[in-house]
Amino acid sequence: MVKLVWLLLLGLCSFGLGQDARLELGFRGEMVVDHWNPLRLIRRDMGPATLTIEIDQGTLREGVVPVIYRVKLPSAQGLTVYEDDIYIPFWRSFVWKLADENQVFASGSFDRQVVNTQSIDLVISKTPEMYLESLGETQRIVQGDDLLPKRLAAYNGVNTLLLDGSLPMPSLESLSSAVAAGVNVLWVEGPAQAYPYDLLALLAPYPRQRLGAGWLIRTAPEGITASLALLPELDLQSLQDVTFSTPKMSKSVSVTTVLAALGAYALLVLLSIRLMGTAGLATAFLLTGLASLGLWNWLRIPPQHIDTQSLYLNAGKLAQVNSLYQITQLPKQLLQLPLQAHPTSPRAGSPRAYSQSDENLELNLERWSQETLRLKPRLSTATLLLEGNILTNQSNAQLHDIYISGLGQQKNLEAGQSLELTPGEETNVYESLLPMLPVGTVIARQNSDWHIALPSLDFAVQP
Amino acid sequence: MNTLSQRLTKSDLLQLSTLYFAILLFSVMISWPQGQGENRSWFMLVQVRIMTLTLLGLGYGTSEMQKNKSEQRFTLLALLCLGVLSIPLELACYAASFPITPWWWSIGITLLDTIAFFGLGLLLSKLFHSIRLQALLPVVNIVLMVLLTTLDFGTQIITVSPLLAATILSPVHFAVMLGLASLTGIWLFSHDSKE
Repeated sequence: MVKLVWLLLLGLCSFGLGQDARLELGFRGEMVVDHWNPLRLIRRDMGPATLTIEIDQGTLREGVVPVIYRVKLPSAQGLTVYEDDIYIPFWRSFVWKLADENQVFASGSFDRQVVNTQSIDLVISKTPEMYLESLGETQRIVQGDDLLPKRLAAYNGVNTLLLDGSLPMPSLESLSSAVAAGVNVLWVEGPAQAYPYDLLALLAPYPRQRLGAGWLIRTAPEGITASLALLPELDLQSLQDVTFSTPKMSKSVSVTTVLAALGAYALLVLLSIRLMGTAGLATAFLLTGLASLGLWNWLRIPPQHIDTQSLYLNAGKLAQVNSLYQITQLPKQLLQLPLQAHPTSPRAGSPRAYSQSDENLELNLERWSQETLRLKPRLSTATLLLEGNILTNQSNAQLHDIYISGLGQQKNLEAGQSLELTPGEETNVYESLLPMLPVGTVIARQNSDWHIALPSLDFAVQP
Repeated sequence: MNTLSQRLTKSDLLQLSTLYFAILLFSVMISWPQGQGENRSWFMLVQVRIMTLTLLGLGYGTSEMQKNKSEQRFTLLALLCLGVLSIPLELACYAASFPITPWWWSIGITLLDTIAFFGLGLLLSKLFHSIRLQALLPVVNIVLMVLLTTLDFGTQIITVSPLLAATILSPVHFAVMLGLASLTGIWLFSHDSKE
């Protein structure tokens, strides 16, 4: 009897203190659908396991169209946190599990009713309700903490990040990633101010400064609404749609040319047989061999073609990098690429099934198909630095077709070189792009890549 | 080689060879894409090619039963020559179409089916001659092809239809046709009382 009690007690202890796992998606569970979201898996004392997330993005008409995220995790001694970003599409069902070969450690699902595409406003404050009115009551406000992700892609669905000093300050890496991702970071100066001024000044010395694709603003609590209202809009999606060109299928040899070649072959074979007897038959066979080799080499084009394009959005010393892989696949193939990305189907409304791990993307491509993959956005140091009227090429290759909105065309710039901006010729090279960008923006090309440097200070603030 | 060359230059086969190449070129013409876009020319060409050759095999099989085995052998060899001589057209379309089926399958199965259907023609001829209904043979050839294709469509297994087997690798079809081709070979090289 005593043994039984001990065994029961041991069992209860192992249940309470033993294996444990928790998955957090988005910020405090708030996900922004059709965007990259942060993923955090917290485990305690666990052997090797595999995290599998299965999202069915199909409809009744299309059937199951799965997106599978799978990552193999090593043993967790003590408390271990695994972090990554995952692209979350619209879903019909969303389930996850953490398991090894023998058992399931944890599992869960998300209801379809929580699908929400609205960007969120993160408030790092003990009293987030204070800012409801300033941020707008229709906004999706989430209270954050100082443990913000340090990856740019995690902020893909974040609109504003507000800090008032009442909670510990997130790391500078987190703030840099957030602002470069296009988040408007509001540092509210007030009585609760506890942040070291110099640290934030390292990021942005001016009270209102653009970094990467976002703004870092220092403001008083009563100035939040006005500060946000003054910010010029920058539609990142439209900017990418304009800059990234659509790939074209390779052009086949014309039917007339092919018919001429095949017809000539057929005629030669028939004439050889008819006119040359036995020697003609041997000649015909020789022609068959030669024609087979010749036609194959002439008509066989490369079975796969991958075009890569990147858009570097610079402001200050930071840049947000968005890249695109455009694949033209002729034979049917299971494609494996060492990258994190999501397919954007050229056919609107028809999602694609794919499988993603922390390193690789697997995608089944039909014959004669084209697929566009949008890579996970990332943070980089600025490739094009605009300081005063000095423009510096910090990339590793020459920039050409440099144009400054409001100033005109500039000469080409070698890697590592600087030039002083001077009024140049007005051209219409970037006609479709200029209306989206503020005056003073620098646009440059590097083969198929785009480098855009936004003016880091706006009209309201001059140093 | 000399006898084969003579058989190929006989007016019936020479005219059919010209017609055969004309049909293949026509199928390339209508299936080759204009400008950029998916090239599906191989799928059409390979089906036209295998159907033409197997129909020729079946037709010659039914009409050559009364001839001696040596003549039958050279007629079959002449048909196989036509198959070999049209390989560049198939490879050209294959190179541009990028199908998943291996290139050697359609080439090999076309030749194998030609032998098998030639043997089937010989068998049908013997059967219809024994019941004195040989006049129906030209119609029977067409009806047989339609029936075989319908059978495979119905069962969803590619067994006997050359039309479906040309583009999809099918071990069952290969086994059936290998069996028929072997029987044809045994028949053609067995002792002939007419020689």
